[in-house]
Amino acid sequence: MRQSPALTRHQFDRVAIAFSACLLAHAVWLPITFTLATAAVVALRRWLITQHLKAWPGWIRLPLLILLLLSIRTQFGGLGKTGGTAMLVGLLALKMAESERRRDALLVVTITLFLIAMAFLFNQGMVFTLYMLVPTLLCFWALNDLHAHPGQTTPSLQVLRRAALRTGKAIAYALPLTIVLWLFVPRLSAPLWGKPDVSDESTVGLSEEMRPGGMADLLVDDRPALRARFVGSRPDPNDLFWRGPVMWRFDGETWSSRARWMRGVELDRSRYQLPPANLEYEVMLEPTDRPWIFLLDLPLTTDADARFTMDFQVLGENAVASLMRYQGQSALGSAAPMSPYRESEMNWGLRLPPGLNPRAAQLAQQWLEQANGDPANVVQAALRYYRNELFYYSLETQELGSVHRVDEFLFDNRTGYCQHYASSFVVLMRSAGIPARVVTGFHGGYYNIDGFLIVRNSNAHAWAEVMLPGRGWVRVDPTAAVAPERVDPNAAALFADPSWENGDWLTRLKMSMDAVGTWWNQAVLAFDLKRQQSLLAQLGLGGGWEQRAMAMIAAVIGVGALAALWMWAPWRRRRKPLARIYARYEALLSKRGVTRPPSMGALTYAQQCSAALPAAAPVIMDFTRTYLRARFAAEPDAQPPLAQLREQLNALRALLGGR
Amino acid sequence: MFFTRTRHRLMLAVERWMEGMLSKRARAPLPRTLNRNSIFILPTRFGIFYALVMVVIVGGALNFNNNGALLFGFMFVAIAIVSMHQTFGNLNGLSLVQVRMDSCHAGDRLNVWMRFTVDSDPRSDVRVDTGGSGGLLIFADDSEGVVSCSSLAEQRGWQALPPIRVSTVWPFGLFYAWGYYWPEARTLIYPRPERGQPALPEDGDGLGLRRRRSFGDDFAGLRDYVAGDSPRRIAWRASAKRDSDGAQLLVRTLEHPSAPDLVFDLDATPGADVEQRLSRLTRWVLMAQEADRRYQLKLGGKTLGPDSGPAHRDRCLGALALHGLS
Repeated sequence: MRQSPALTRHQFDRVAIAFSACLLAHAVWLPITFTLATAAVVALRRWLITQHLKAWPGWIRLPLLILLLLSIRTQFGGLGKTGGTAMLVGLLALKMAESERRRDALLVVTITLFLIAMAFLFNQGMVFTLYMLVPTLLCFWALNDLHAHPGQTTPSLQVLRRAALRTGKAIAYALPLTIVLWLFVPRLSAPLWGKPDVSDESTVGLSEEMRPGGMADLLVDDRPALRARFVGSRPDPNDLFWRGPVMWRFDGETWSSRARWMRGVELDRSRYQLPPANLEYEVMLEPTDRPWIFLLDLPLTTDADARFTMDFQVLGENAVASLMRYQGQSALGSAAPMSPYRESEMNWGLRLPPGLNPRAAQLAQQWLEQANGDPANVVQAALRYYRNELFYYSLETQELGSVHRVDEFLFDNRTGYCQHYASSFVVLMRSAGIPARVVTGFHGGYYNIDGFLIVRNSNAHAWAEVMLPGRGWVRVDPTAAVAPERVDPNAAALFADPSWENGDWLTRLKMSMDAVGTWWNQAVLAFDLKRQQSLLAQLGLGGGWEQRAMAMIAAVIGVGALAALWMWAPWRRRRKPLARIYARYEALLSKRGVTRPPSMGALTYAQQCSAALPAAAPVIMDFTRTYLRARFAAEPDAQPPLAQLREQLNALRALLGGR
Repeated sequence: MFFTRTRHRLMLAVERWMEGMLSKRARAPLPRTLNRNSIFILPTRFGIFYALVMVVIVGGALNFNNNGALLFGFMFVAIAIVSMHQTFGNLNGLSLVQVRMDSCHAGDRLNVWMRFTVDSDPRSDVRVDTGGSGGLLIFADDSEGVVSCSSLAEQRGWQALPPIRVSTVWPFGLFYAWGYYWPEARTLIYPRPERGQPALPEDGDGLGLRRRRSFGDDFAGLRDYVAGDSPRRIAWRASAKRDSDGAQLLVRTLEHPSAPDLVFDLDATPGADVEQRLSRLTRWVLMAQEADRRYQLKLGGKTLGPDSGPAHRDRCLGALALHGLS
């Protein structure tokens, strides 16, 4: 086989720049040491080239490869989403380093394109997406350069500029076609292989467990968790409880919803007297890698692929791996009375780890005796206890290390945040014989200028539900019972929701950015089969597969034809001014009977014309001389003396016309 | 490997088929313009690899409904489609307007010089191949490009112009487009001149030339330069004086009043076979022209001259080239 041409230093640089731009995008999630090591390998190779060391030494490959495998093993724990991508990045850097020939470079550029696409597994924000145009442009620029003639080893600035311009042009022509493909190529309703929840890193978010101190990380994270827009008027902010994981099981330390039978049991709507929906809204949920679909309490319906469990959790078919957009309907501020009670539900709602928290049990018993048999009175007694005793709200908690964690909180420590309050409250209720459970989710949020309610991770919350006879499961938020003067000002500042009116410029900037990001999420990232179908329906193509296929083919052909027309536009095929003037000159003379065969040079033609039209000879020769000087000028970019040529042409016309 | 070989074989078959088609279609008088009837385009090997990677990207993005990756995957596909049009457009409308083949001696490089024009943008990285050699079409300005290819001339006699293939992979190397021109053109390949300076037939010692040169460079006058004059005889200073543009050069004419006419007779020339004798004669013609002598060439029944000058030389070389060939 023919050997591929050797790579020039200049071509190596182009490819290395494209690769580095792509590496920069992956640096967002790659460990900094890994990024630096990868960049160092490429830089080392570049340095070796400057030192005129011809080849990347062969012996270096094996140690570098072993180093790469080790680092994948230790830093990523194998070939998951992150490990696999990091492996590809590392291997590509090694390939880049040993690239000697054009075919190596072509491979590197193509895999770089692949890595550009893979970067979207980690980030799909608008700014990130716009940035990805940079490595894309650089890759195609490099491809263009790799196929340029080897004569251009050190191209001039002009050549570089022209190549960049043309690459940019190719991408500009490709954009409309890209959008058509993106809009009309049929999407899949479900993955054909694999699961989207391939993530193996722990993302911040509500999980199916609530460990001691587990929510603290979440409460200081002000990244958005979801955004919502309400149909009609905005609801009372105090009613905004986004319902997430519901927890029944308590082992004295951790709450969990891991009771499998419970997650598996569908909501039996006939058991409940469900209130009518009083709020309709649209949600864009950021990826969580977990199946919960967040709806407002009490959730009734949603258009997402999800099922309701018997404790009103809404679980998606798959984990939410990318931005998800759905609608929901809820009955705000209502509980759903149910009948009949299910024995197993009662049992689970009363279960406590045996032998733990004796003081809490004692207190609960005391309240029960004073309650005259009405569980609602017990609930009131507990809330009064939280308000009147010296309970503090703060993220700075001190664990004393006792096994009786709830006792410790209720009687000794008395400082904590939502999870402590919810947990202790449920333990108290259960001790008093009232079925209770912990519910986690989000509470609150603020409105951005675009009308979206932004709920951040710091809005995470835990509250309780108790089952009251005749009323069903009733929400109780013990955290709200803490006296306002005993809320830690630091924590209060943390949870204060920004507002456009009171915000400083930075807040406003952040809010504007978020509004743009929301638009991007809504318009681009949340586009799926459902949106595609509704788009086609709006275009009058809502029918079956055949119609969609037809629509797509028509769109592609249409855009292709438009692009082709634009590229070879006959109206743009006008000549350059110099050639245009010469054509006019030629037309003028051929009317006098002297025609120029295409192979004849301008000077010979002038001599023939002079012979045929001796009167015009000096003007013809003048014109030809000016024309030739302009055409074969030393500086091709110089402005041709068009005015002079026009003048001479007019003189010629006057001379010939006057004859 | 198998794939490569199959593809290579396929390409060869396609090219052979097209060579057949060429005799019907490419044989057209100049100027001839490539258009959609005469341009062929296929993906390159790299293009096929690229397509496979794109299938993986788009398939993966669709599968995981990752809109960012899908957007860029489709963009890469769209760029490839646009680049196909660009590759085609790089040849479309390219006209071959002039071909010049200079005569040369067997064993020398035969130069084929071609001039192309375009009616729109200049073209990038167009390769022109003919007769086993190729070059890159260079656009001196926006509408006109020239290229010259040189291949080894092997035999004396008429040499027809082989088909001219223009090809390009611009801009990204994903597609390979090519087309043919095959204008009727031929040139004479003169016999290979014998090496060294064999003695001219008039004087056995071979010193005649040198002696005469030392005496006889008699300046006779100036005349206009014509193609073929030795650059050594250009009167630079006089040329510059006459015409400030330097458009017309002057050469010195010399006179050799004492030198007798030379007679080059094929039958009287030593040599093992006809080709060797033709080689000797060719060298003599060149030497005589260099010395600006008058000479006569006798080839069998044919006699040329006596005369001198480039025109006479070309006539003689032409006769030598075609001697014995039908």
